[in-house]
Amino acid sequence: MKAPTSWLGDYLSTKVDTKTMAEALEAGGIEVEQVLYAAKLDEQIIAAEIKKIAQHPNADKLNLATIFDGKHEIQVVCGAPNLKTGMKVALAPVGAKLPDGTVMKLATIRGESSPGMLATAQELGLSNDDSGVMPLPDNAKPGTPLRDIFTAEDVIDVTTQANRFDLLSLIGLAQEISAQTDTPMKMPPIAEPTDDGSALDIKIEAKEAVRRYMLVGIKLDQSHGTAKTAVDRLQAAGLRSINLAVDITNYTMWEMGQPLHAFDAAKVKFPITVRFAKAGETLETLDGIMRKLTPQDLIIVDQEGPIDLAGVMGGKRTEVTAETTEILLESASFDGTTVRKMAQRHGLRSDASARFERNLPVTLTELGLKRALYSYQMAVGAEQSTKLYDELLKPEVITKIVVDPTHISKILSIPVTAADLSKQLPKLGFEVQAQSDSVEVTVPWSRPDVVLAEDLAEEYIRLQGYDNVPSRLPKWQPDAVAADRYWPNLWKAKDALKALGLFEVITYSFVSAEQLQQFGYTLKDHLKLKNPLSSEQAYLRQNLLPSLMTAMVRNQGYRPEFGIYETSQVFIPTEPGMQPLEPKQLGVLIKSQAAYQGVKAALDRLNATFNADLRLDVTKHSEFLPSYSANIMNGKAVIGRIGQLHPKYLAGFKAKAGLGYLELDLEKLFEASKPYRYHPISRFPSLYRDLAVVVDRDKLWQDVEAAITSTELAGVSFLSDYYDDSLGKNKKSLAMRLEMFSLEGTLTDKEADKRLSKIVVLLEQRFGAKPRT
Amino acid sequence: MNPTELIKKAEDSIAKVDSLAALEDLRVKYLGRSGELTLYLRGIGKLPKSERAQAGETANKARIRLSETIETKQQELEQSELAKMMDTTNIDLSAPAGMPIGHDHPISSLLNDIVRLYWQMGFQVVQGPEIETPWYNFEALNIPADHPARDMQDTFYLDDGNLPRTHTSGMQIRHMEQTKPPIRIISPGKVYRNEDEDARHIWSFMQMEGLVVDEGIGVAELKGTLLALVRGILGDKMEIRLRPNYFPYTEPSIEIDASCVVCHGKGCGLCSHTGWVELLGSGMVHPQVLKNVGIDPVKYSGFAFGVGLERLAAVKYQVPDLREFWRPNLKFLEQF
Repeated sequence: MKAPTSWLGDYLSTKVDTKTMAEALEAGGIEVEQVLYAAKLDEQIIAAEIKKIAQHPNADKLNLATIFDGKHEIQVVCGAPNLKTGMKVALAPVGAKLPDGTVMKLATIRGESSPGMLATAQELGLSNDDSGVMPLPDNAKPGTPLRDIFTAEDVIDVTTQANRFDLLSLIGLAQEISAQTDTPMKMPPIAEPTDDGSALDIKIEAKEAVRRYMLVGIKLDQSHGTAKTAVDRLQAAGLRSINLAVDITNYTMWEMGQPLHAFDAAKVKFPITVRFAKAGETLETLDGIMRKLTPQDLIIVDQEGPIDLAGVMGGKRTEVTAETTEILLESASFDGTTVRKMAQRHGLRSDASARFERNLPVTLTELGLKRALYSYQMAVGAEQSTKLYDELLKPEVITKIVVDPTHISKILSIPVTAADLSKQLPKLGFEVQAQSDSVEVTVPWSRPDVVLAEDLAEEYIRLQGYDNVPSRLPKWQPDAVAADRYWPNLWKAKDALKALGLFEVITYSFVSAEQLQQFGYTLKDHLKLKNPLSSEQAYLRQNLLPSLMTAMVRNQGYRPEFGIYETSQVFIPTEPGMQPLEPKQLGVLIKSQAAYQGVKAALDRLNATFNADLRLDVTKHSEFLPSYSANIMNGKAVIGRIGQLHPKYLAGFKAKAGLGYLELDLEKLFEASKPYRYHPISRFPSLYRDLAVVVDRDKLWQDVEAAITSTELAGVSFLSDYYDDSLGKNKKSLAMRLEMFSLEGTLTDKEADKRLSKIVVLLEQRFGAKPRT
Repeated sequence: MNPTELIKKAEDSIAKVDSLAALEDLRVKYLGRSGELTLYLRGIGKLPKSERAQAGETANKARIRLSETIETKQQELEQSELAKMMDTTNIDLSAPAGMPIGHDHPISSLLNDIVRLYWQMGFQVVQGPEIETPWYNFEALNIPADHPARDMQDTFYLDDGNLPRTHTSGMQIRHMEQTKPPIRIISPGKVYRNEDEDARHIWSFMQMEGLVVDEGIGVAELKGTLLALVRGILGDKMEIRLRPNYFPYTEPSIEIDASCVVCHGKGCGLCSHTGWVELLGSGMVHPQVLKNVGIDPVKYSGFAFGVGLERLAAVKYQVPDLREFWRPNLKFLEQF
């Protein structure tokens, strides 16, 4: 909400400067988005009228606007989307200086010269609106310096939190400044409606969605237009002057926070009904759009049909124009959720709906109407022309909170007495009555967000500030502590991967259909977002491969060989409506000439790091080359997979190197960790024997090793594997070194050879292995 | 040649030798298996008996003397070769060696630091599902279906009504359902917001929330705990500032600003000349939230806080664009 500070100052009894106002709001926890200080505009910046608009011959998004600057017609290039013939705009011609210091120069844009620029409100320093050129009032005379049309104002732009409707009004903001600066408020005068005139025929049918509904006829003469000060203020607030009747509704909304709507009385055919729309009904709103209504739309209807989308936007048929001589002024409180959903449904979040959706107090309904009535009377001597219709369906509930000051003191960690509360809270409109050991606080109608002692604590500290609150750590006496093993394990795993030179990456959990289909995955097996930001991020990934692949392709030129890894929860659907399983997964992707060995090294390091006994189970996965594909087993449980990616999945990957991929369930890896156990070490020297055997290629080293180790005849280490047709069809040679020792004494060569032959026999029986000679 | 002549000849040669290899050649020449002195010694048996003893003694003395001379010369030569070697440079001591190390992601390093810091303060780390039910993400946190605050957190939804969590607060609820006070936890993890990205906003980020519930917890404990976080992560010189704010699940709600890491409060470009940067949201747990999990809000009170780790990392490492953390670009990641 933009608050021009001269206007805001109307509601304070003494002058407060802009800087102090902004600081006071911030101290109260109200977010000041921007403070715009008024700058006097260069007098060369003038009003102009658009005469003709033509498409720029060389640019789709640009127009050539022929404008009249009071003396000549000139042609300028403009890209704003809101140009209209007849529109009054601000022209900054060559030589004019903008508030930011830019001096306009003759520009040639895509071959068309432009001796000036049509300015946005932001470029003129009048607001931060840069959505299009700033429209000037229709009566602005071409050639008039803009500084004579708008008097620049200091403006404070605040962001309003969702539970404070009152901060969407100048009196609400003034209340905060008043409390922070100890400057008394000055409430704007109001007019009491008379009881004269005929009663209005109105029926409220949608009682559940209406809290209060007020309507009154007002006769007025608009011929003198809106006063310049008011136009300036509306402009500075980011509103546009339309005509006197409408301007006063907007002006009052900004002052009081109560949105008002004016119907042209001559165009309304009583009786009026407030009800939900029927399917098939339509309403042309003020913006000229014909809207299809649904039974969730709250509408105002006259004899001929809908005339207002309640709380959101009025209808075209009953629009007030400069010629209107009698209006029906509506002030209401509609159900917040109803209005919010209507605004969302119709894509029409207006200044009015933003206020209604916060559930406006019914006291404000009345106050807003009375203030507007006063303004109409003062501005043009308007007269009430009908009896006031006022139906109150949800009377205001006044909250009283009884609170022990020591409770507030405990929350805030500072001493707070009844006297402190009695002194401070009234600054924000609360009434405080001290009782024996507590105080009774009456909450003003304008603060329905305050219901608990904790809310009062917040109000109090907003006035005091947090600077005096001491700082200390909480005391702590737990009954027991549960040792956390997850993080140390995670760090061990990451350190092992880091030592291998791998980069940790973080990638999005949501992936595109293309990323999944790249690996032949079925889309419908994946959970999908109902409302993704873009199709790039629509599906919940079940493994890390697609994301790592995308990261690898993007970084493929980084080095000839490198690897990346990620640890992240992935999403495995269960029953519809149930939360998915979310195992924590580790994915490693390595680009290398020896890609499989790269990921195998990672697996071996992890296996050693966790003192685990992970085995491979040769299993084909579609993502991998058939001969480079295995499951990773802990006992009988599959806890991951490893392999080299099949070239057909390497779309977009230019390098000659291969890609190795390792995937592990992290927590299952941690569970595979075995405790370390002591094994006796022989005092006597070991004897070594090298052995090479020829076996079928599907026999795995891991099994040979386990078989030998389990005999306790020797320790064994891998030397090499060798593949050649001379060994026999589909055979390979495995070479190993055996280490033999005894705990009792030095082993003799004879004993060692005996053990060796036992091992040879065992390997022959178990694996059909023949010693290689 | 008799031993005396041999020795003289050998000693002359040894004196001229200037390398260990040449010295070894001389040793072989005289003392080797078929060295001249060795052969002489072997020939003594063929001498007349009367001469043998004398010749043997002379030859043996000569052998010992020659051995000693060679030994001495060898030591001399070794010394001088060592001296020469020590004077020669054939290595660039600064040349890189071994395999390059990998890189932890800066966000996970930061999280690791935070976990260790909070362990020091006795906090437990809890983790949970990223796909939450509306109850745990919203209702239990005092954000009913029609609450306008749901607009503050633009939410993704799955078809079945569950949603990628918009904060990790759901874990606080789950923890409080299981555990009675005293409670002190942090809950880190990925969260998701359906909003457009720019340099200061990302739709998927790493959040860390904290919760303390016990008797006698007030704003002072919140302040101390968050000061410890800010100093632990950003440096011991840091200060914090508390400002009122609004969140539906805390009352009072408190915004925490940290003193600027660059200018330490004096004002500079990074902090828009205010001396402070907005860092995180916090507050005293709303009594309704405690009631929702069956904790008596009269007896117990608590505070909660939440910080976006990318935001914290951006402040710590002065990264101007939060999107860098998620790209992933190895040229960026190798800097950490």
